[in-house]
Amino acid sequence: MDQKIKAQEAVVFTDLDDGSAVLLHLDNKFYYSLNESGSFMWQLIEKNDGAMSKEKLVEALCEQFDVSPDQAQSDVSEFIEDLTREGLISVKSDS
Amino acid sequence: MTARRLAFELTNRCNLACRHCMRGTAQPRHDLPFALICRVLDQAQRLGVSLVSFTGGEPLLHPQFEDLIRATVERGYTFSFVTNGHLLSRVLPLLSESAVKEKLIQVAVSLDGPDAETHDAVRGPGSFRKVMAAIAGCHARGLPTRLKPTVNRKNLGRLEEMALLAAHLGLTGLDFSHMHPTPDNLRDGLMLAPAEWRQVETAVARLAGELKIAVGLCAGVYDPSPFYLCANLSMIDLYVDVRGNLCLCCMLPAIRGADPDQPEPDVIANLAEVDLVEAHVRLVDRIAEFHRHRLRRLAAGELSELEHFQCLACARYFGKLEWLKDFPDSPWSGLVLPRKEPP
Repeated sequence: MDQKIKAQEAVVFTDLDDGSAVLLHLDNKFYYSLNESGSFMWQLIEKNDGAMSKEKLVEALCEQFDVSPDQAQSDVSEFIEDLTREGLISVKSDS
Repeated sequence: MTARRLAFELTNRCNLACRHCMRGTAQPRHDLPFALICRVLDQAQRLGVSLVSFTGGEPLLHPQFEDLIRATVERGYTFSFVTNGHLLSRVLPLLSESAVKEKLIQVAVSLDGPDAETHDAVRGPGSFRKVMAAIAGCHARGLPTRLKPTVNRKNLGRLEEMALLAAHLGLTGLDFSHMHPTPDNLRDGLMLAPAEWRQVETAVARLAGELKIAVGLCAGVYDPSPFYLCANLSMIDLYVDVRGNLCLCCMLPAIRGADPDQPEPDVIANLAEVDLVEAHVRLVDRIAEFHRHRLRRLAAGELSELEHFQCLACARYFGKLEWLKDFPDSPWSGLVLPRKEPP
């Protein structure tokens, strides 16, 4: 069973000039800082509009950054967990 | 007294078409020439000006906005600007440079509602998200940022929410503005009545007392004195319009509804032809003439209730509210006594 990740509508993304980014959740008005890889993953999630899977994120991260598959797997899992907890993304099972 | 702040209308171009805009759309589109601005900045140093502000139109549409910021900072001025936020991400790297950032007093971002529905009803679809993204960028870079809501029929009941929004977003404050009457906003019902303006002023004063962030109301407030002194009439502010004119007022040039073929007595001098110091001398004379005329009218019982509303009183004095006669049912029309020509 595949899981699909979707950016929440109420979240605004701002790209900063050094590759990092900031998210603003319009419901609670909290800011969230993203480092370069976080910004990269967020943009992929947003661009794919609900069609991005964890596996594709891991693959893309390995292609873009000098990171091992195991490390990428761990980073993506943590990223998804953090963003889900903060209500920035939703993860749905694609049965 | 000498001026403390010099304001430039950098351009009358804009990337939005807000329903409540005061600026007429019929005027030719201009950008204030870079060389003229630099010359005036040099001359202003002799007058003790310390703060430069940039308005528009949308000032970020000026083709040399970044160069202007550098020219301002290089001359030792602090600066601020007003923006609709849509293009702000482009200049964030510049504003984040330490030499520039230490001179930046504030970025004032126009926001007309605490949510997309309210803001976008006036400023256009998708605008709210762009403004929020711009504010997030400013916050991430530690730039002093304030909201600048224009109070209108759509957001009248949302003042507290807008103030709380500014507080939640960690901004330095917000400055409400009255929406000034134009034929368009009287027609489409956005314009508030005079009594509502007074209520807005009371509500803003209460918020200012209750919140920790700075809450204020820009020029145009009701003043019980017939001799009100705004920043321009006090000569604390000098205003240069997009044609390079030193003007008495920051609100009146190119105001919507004014007859473009009529002379503009609020225009003091064109700074492409006249040195800022000489123009300032003429401004002093013009302001004295304004007050002399006002005093005579007061003595003759010719000052109407409208003339306690700053900006509107001047607009009427300078013949820029003649169109109100086409709106006899407006509560603003009822405040106007027949106008007497200035001497």
